[in-house]
Amino acid sequence: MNFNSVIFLIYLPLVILIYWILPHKARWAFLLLASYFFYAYHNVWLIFLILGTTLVSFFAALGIQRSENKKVRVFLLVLSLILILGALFVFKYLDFAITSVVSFVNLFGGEASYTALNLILPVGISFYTFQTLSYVIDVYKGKFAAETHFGYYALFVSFFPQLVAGPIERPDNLLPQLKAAKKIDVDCFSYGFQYLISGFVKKIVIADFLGVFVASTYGNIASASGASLLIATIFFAIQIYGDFAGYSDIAIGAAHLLGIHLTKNFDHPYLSKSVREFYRRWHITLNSWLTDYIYIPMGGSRCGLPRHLLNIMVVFLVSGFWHGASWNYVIWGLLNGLLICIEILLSKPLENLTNKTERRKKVVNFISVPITFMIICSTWVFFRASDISSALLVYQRIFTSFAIGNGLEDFKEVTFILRVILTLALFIFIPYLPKMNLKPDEEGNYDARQIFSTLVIYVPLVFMILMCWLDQLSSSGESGFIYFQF
Amino acid sequence: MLQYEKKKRKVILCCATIVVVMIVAIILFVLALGMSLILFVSKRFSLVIFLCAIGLLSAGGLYCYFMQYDLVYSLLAFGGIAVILLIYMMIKGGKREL
Repeated sequence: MNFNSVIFLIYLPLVILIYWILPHKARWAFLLLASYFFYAYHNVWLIFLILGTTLVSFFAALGIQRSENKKVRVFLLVLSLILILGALFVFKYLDFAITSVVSFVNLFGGEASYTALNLILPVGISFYTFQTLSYVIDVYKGKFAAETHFGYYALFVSFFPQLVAGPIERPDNLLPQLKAAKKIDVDCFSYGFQYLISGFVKKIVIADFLGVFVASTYGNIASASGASLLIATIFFAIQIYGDFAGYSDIAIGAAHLLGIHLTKNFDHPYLSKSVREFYRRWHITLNSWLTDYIYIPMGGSRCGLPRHLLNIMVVFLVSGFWHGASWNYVIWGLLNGLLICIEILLSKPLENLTNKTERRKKVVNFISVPITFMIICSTWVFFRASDISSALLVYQRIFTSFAIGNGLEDFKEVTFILRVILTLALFIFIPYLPKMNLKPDEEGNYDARQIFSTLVIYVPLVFMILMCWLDQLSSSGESGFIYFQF
Repeated sequence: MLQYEKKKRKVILCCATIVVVMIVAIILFVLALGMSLILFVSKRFSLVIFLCAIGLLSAGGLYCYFMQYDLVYSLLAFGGIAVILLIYMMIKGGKREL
């Protein structure tokens, strides 16, 4: 079920209403049913896959905890990792792996052929696979006790707001919250609405509008001018942020309305002053997962420089593969890893150069934000283009055919330019959306002025969301989220 | 048959849009009016003028929506209100939360 579908507009209020009416003991069962319904709405058969992953990780963790024999514990850990990652491999990477091998063989004169299986990619498989993996590994490491209640654990894996595209939650954050008895809190609703509105503005008003221009330009790379490709790439950087951060905000908002606090997934990434900082602020839950379960076990930064750089490259290679079964994503990941390695190598000489005077430091701080933004934009080309040759063509046209021409027809209309300005202004200022403060003061009085002034901001935003959403539904139907394909 | 279904869907959505526009517009005007009255009583006239400007913008947006059925003008009007208010919140020392 998409967050921007008509059915979700009915589903969410109903779930929240029934959830708060039910006694605490029955809430987990209801939420589990609601989450499975949410997932089955895409495809009923996929329920068996998520159930299988849940069963494997649940019993493996229980077995690991109860066994005192180290060999048995290791065996259970390895078996569960093979089964969970095996399911991910079959559904997401099998076709890609065999096709790559066949192409490689044919490159050296072989005559191999392969008919792709074209299996359905289960929505959100990469997200819940990582969530279950972290659970089994943490139980093995003894970080916390295995969950003994299957219902709560199944809910932890399938909790609907974050099931399809994250945030990738850790058991020590989500499981205790699912178990705790909760009372309706005004604060939960205040934060919930704040995040929901922000998320829908990011997705429907910002990302979907820019997405139309990006799709039309990247659909005709060969005939588009360099200028239009450059603008489309910058727009894509904003689109993917609006799309994914919007999804995360809606997920966090929906969970808040159920009294559950999910982990923050974005922290104004485009204000970063370096690529390293960018990845500390972008898709925080995935990057912290990769840090905890791959980077640190490999030695992290507490080893020699060559090994440190190798660890970074491995993490970004995995990140690239995680995003999709295609060589563009692999190159995108490696490119980011390479940029971070260069940053590390240049960090000391640059520091010596910039820290000489206070003024120079300020200037560098000021220009490093747009420079980082443009570097990140250049890497998004591989993420957006359909294949490597298209991505290379984009770079080629930007640097060799920059003349303003094809692909910029939309900019001849004043209304389009005004809407672009409005979209960019919303992108910059939406983080300042205030919390809908509905709490009374110590004497139990409500500050009418505060409530009114907050609502005066919320109403035009709701209005914009509805107008764009209805316009979208009547013309092309609801738009999907980019990260659903991962 | 498919075309008929598509047309039917479009008509329903157009009707839904108009109903939503009406409801939200009424809420917006009531809010602006309520806020203006509260501020008028507390003698904060500069804010009353500020709100009147917002009221005018929203009226302009609604006019464009109903008279020309053009989404862009209304979006610009309401987006303009939202951006002005968000900048106002930023100047007042609001924090980047989202």
